[in-house]
Order: sequence, then structure tokens, then C-alpha cells
Amino acid sequence: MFKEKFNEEMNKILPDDTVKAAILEKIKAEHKKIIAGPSKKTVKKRWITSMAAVLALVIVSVSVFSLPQFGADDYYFTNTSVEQEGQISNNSATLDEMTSEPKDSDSNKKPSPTTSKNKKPSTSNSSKPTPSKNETEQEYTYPYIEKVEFPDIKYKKDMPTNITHAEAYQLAKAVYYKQTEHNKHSDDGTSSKLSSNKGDNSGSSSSNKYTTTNVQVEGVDEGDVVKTDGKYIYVLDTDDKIIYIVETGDGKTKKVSAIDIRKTPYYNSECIIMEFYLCGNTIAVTAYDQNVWNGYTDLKITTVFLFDISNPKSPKYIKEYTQSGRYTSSRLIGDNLYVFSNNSLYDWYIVPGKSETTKWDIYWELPSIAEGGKKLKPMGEKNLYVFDGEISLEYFSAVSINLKTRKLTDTKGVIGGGDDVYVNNESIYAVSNEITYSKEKQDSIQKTHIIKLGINKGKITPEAKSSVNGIVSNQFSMDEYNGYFRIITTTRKYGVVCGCGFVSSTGVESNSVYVLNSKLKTIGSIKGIAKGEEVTSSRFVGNVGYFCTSPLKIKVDPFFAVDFKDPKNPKILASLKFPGTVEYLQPYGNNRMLGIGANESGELIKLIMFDTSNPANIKELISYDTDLPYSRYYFTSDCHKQFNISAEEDMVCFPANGKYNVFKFNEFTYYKEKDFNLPTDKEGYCDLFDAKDARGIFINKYLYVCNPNGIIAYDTKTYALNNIVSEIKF
Amino acid sequence: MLILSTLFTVEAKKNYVCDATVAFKEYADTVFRLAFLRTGNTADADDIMSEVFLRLVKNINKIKNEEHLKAWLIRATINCCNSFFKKSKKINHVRITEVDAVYEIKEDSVLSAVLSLPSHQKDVVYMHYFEGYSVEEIAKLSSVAVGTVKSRLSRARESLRNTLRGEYF
Repeated sequence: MFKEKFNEEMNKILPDDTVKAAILEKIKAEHKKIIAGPSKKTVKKRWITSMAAVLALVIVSVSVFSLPQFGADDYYFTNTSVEQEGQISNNSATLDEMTSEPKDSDSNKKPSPTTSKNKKPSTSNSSKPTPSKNETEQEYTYPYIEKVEFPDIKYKKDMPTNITHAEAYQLAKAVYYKQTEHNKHSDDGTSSKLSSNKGDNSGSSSSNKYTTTNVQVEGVDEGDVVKTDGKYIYVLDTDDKIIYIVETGDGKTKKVSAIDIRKTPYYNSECIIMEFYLCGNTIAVTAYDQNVWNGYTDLKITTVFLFDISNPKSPKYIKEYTQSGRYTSSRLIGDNLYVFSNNSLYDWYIVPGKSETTKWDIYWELPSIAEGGKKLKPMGEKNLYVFDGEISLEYFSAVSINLKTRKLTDTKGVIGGGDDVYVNNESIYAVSNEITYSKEKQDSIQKTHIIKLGINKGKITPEAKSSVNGIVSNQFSMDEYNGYFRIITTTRKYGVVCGCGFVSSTGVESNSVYVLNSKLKTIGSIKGIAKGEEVTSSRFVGNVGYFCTSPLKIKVDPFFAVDFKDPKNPKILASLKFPGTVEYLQPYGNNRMLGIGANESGELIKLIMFDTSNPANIKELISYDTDLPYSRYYFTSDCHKQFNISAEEDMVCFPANGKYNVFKFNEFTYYKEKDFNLPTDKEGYCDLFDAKDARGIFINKYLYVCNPNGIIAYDTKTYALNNIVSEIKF
Repeated sequence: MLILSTLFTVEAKKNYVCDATVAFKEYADTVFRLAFLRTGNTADADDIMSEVFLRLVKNINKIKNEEHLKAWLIRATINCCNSFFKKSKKINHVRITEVDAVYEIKEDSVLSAVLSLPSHQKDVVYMHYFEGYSVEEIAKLSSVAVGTVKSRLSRARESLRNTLRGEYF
């Protein structure tokens, strides 16, 4: 039986003893801190609050006939019932309200607190689950593969071809049939999509007098969890789904209001909030939900919530747009917000009309769009495109919304996937990795499919499709310059198959660089670069592309510069070896490139500065080991948003090790100017995820360190003294 | 009366049912297993286990009894895993040197089939088949409707039946 087999296998999964011992130590240390207790002032405050609360409770109790028994369980019950509401707490909220971790833990819902103490909780009654008859005896059908011919589409050469819904459906079926037939004998694994993270570029910079989100391409804004317009700071708490609006001025902070996404009319408790944009008087929040049951299957949808903040004191919900597919990414150019999603056409579903029959097959959900919680409607046939050539069982949806008029500008659906995007002011390049592993041949085919869409004032036009060998790691491995698209890919070795189509990478073969023209035809390439090493970070500056690769065992990174002056004939100009690894690259002023990564031992975060004034002769200027422990969690593919790098101020700031760190540069070396505590919750705690969401914003001469717990403001002139100008907790 | 109530409150706060270190020794495996099912590798599962128990230390005075502790830990693990995936949607894939630490999962094992399920289905399968929670309890724990849990469970069974070629069902 499944249960016994599953339990037997699960029982074998045990944590490592040394890891357990280390965690136990951490717990003991944390416990000691708590026993040491809060400051006297806090205790006094808490005592007064609790006395006041008790007094109020007693008065209320007296007024309602007789006094109820006041026992231990009542204490918890009263507290947990507050947790359940999950509202934004004001400053007078009690300690316990703020720290309720699992808002939905079952204790909240126990009807009577007194029963749970003596009675055995209901869990024990159900330790032997007996699935209902309906569930166990459901009719089961093995996947049946129906042969479908390819539709007769008159493809335009090298151009997007408009197709009808029926053609698209037939095409998907035919591709599926072909793939299944093809794989029938080899019993293939499928693709695992790998993205690595690393580098970005650009600059943080201070336009006007405040810093904005660090982005890859100038003029193309990327979503983040903290944004500012110079006067107000907006902080998104993705767990509680709230945006706090804080007024600033001369270091003062004042919470003026909050946007509670949970209170929007079509809110679904399972939606996952990703990031937001600020554009004039509009805030756009992107979110996705993977499990919208439509009666047949789980739909994946991406939602954009729009809020009006013309009066920041009373923000208003305007509307929301929903599109089909899993959220890929989004960009803001001028007033136009582009939202990208990706949907698989192969899914498990219930056959319509036969609720007992289920199967895995093509579930054709057209690229769809809806406004304000209405039912999703297909985009319309004139917006659906396909390219001749290789076709994957996915489609990519691009939707543009004008945040000024708050209207949809354009929607386009293209057959072919998009897991990551590179966007500049003229084009969108959507890439998807495809890895096909053949167990028989013990070999894999790795490809990156690229779809190019042109953009112009919100209008989206599919332009070309192509594919190159190898897989792309993130948005910084791509760039367009003078109409040529450059891409760096890595070819891995795949081998270990651990069932269910799971294929693992067992190493790296080599890396390649491709140059594609505006029609996405490969015109130049270099193959077989850095054999056995993987690309850890990359960045393009004009005609030169820089990237670092890392051998897996030895922590010495080669740093490469590739010249693209002649697009047909790219050349490796130089390679420089240095100790450590670089996971993120960003140009620093005109002739410098800053790298952030790990030191040689892999234990500490390292800052490294290269002199790139002559790309043929790169020099390592500064190599500085910080005192911050390295963790791969700092270097996710969107890690560039955490960095605040300014060459004018000679400053590098980022959150790490539970602090916000400011490093300065003085021609010879870096030095740590200061580290700031991150805002903590009312118990003085800042968890791993709040630390990752921490951002530092400089407005005039003040530094505001923000995260979902609150904001702390420092005066940059005097912060060496650790003077907090103001502090606010959400 | 006032003094009496205050005493009770204080008493209730002191009357911890559990000690975080004891809880860790008892439930580290439970948390680790669920985190492993969700993340599919030991390195991430270790990090999640650590985070969950540190959160427990902060919230220890809210734990009512043993059952509540277990439910709290499961809920906290799911929350942590959700945050983990959201924050590191595209986390730098685990370096190959770290992959060595992954358990060797046999190709035809039930576990590898469960690992390939969507995350919300994994939770349901884990809680139902391993921890023995009823559908109603799972609904409470994960704050979704009973019907949703049922449909997730049946969809999970369907997928498992498919991948395991009808074996065990």
C-alpha cells in the first residue's frame, strides 16, 4: 500500500547530526537572549499595557452578568483570536499580536479552549485516514495519445504568423503527439530549468536627490519591494500583503496610511505577491496564483492590482488585470507597464462532462485576459501568433498596461515559452531553456529558445524567434547593442536520473557566446569557452562583454572580456585569474567594473574592483574581503535590487548578515564605513526573509533602512555616531 | 479580583508546555522531512529547519500543548517554505558540490513520485499519509476549505497513480 511504502521511505529521511547540533546551539543562544529579557522600560510599558487590558476585561466581564472563569487557556484564546484577524496593528497592539507566526494554526480555530486540554485532540482519532470510497475507487485512465496531424499553416518566412484558436489547439496536440512518439522508446526525462543569478549592472544611482531601484537597463524600471518618489517611501510586505506608505522629510518618518491587498474585492488568499511599481499617482502590484480551480484543472494566473495614490493618506483600489500563465517578470518603461507570463499547455485535467475521468493531455487554455475579477477571456485570434520552426508546449503572454490612463494597451500571445526576459527600450527578448535528456544515449540536448517582441509606446509586436545551444542563466547574460543581440550560454552535463523524469546536472561542459542580428539569425559565436567552468556573472558594456566563470572545486575565477566590435567575429580579448568567485558584476564609473562574490575559502563576501579602461589588459585594482559571511541566498537572480552602488559617492551598500552595510572606496581599498541594524519586529527579531527584503534609500542627506518590519532613518553626516534620527515600526 | 486575574495571566505565561530545545530534539525530523519534500534538497531543508525553530523560540509562550506545537511547527514550516520559494524564485541553482548531499532517491521510489507533485499537493500528501491528519484538520492547518483539501488529495492520488503506473493504489 502507498501509505506504508511512503512512511517507510520518509522515515529514512533524517537531518544530519552535525547540522542538528549547530542549530541546537543557535536555539540555545537565542533562548538565552530571551531569558535575559527586554529592557526595564519595555517591561514597564508592557506591564502597564497588560494591567490596562486586564482592567478593561474585568470591567467588561462584570458588566455582563457574572465573571467567567479566567484560566490559562483563556489567556491563549484571547490572544490567538486577535491573530486570526491579521489586520495591520497600530502602535498600541499587544506584543502577542505582532509575533503570531502561523496565523492560521489550528489552535485559532478550536471552538473551545477548555476541551483541548483534557480531551485528546482530534488528530489522534484520525491517525488512520480512511479515504472515502469515491476517492479511492475513481475510474482511472492511462494517458491516451491521439495522433494529430500538424495543421496546414501558411508560415510567413522569418515572420510571425497569425493563427486561429483551432489551429493553435491542433498545433499543440500535434507537437505533443510528436514529442511523445519521439520519446516513447527512450523514456526521456524532461527539462529542469536552471537559472543562476548574478550580475547586473547598472546603477543605482542617484537621479535627483534620491536613490531608485538598481536596474539592468537605464530607463527600464524593474519591480521591487521598496520604492520612493523622494517624499514618500512605499514598503511592500509580501507575506502580509500590505504596502505601507511613509512620509519622510529631514529624516523624520511618519506612517500615513497602508494599502491592504487582502481587502481588494477579488482577493484570493492563495495569491503570491511578488513586487510593485510606482508610476505617478499609480501603484501597480504584481502577483500570481498557481491553483485556480476552474472545474477542470488548476489554472495559473498572473494579476496586476492598481491603486491610486494621488492622496497618499487615503490610497484607493482602482482595478486589477488578470492574465493567464505563471508570472515571469515585468518592466516599466515610461507609463507603460509590461507584464509577462508563461503557461504550459500540457496539464492534468478532468474531461469535461465526465467528472470521473481524468487525464494528462493538452489542456488548451488560450492566452487570456480579464479586468477586475471577471472571467478570463481569450485575447482574440488577431493577437495569437506562432513562428515556423521548433515549437514548445508553452506559450508566452505579454500584456501592456498604461499606468497613467490605467487601461490595457496591448496583449499578445506567442506559442513558445518564456522563463526569463531581457527588456530594453525597444525590444523584449523572452528566453526559455529546454533540456531533453535521452536515457538511452545518456546524452542531453540543451537549448535556449528566444522570442523577440518589439515594443513601442505600449504596443507589442512579435518579431522573430530563434534558438541557440546551451542554457542561459539570467537576464544579465543577455544584451542588445546597435541592433545586435548577444547571449552567453552554458552547456552542462546531465546524467543522474532519479525517477519521474528528474535529471540532475553533473557538471559543466563549456560556455558559448552568440551574436544574433535583428532577425535573430546567429551571425557570430565563440564556442567551448572555459571548459568545465560555469558562468557565475556577466555584464555587457557597449561593445564589450564581461563575464566570470568558476571552476567547481577550485575557488579561482577567470574573468573574461569579449570584444563584439565585429559582430560576425567576436573575440576573447583577455582573461584574468583571481582568487574567489564573483556572483554579480556592475560597471562602476567609466573604466571600472565592480564584482561582488565570495572569497577564496567561500566563507566571506568579497568586493573586487577591475580596471577595464583597456579591455585587452584588465587589471585587478582592489580585492577586499569583508567580514560578512557569504551565503548563496544573497545572490539570487534578482539580487541586483538589493545593491545600492554609486561611483560618484564611492559607495557600495547592501544588506547582509542581518545588517545594512555601507562600504566606501578610497582609491586604494574598500573599508566598511558602518553597518546598521535592520528594523526588527516588536520582539526585536528580523528573520531571514525580512533581511533579504531590506533596502536602503538615500534621500538628500538621510539614509532610510527599510524592510517589512519598519524604517530606521540615519543622518549620513553623523551616522558614524549611530544616531538614529527617527524610527518607525509597522 | 484584579490581582487574581493578573496572577493567572502571568502564571499562564510561565506555564510553558515546551522548551524549544526539547521541541527541537523531538520534532527536528518532522520539520526536516516536510522541508525536504518541499525543497527537494538537504541544504535548503537545513536552512528552513533552522529558521522554523528560531521562530519557535520567539513564539514559545504561545504554544498551548503538544498537539498545538506540532501543528504550529508544520504550519510554520509551510510558511517558511512559501517565503523561501517566493524570495528565491530563481535562486542560484545549488552548486554541484552541494548536490552531493542530496539523498540518493531511487528511480522507482514512491518518494520521487511525491517529490514531483506540486507543492500544495505535497503538503496534503505528507500531512495525510505521514502525519495522519484528517482532511478537516488539514483544512484548518492550511486555512483552506475542506473541499479544496479533498480535491488536492484526489488530484495528488491521480498523479501518483499515473507516475507509479497504478502500483500501490
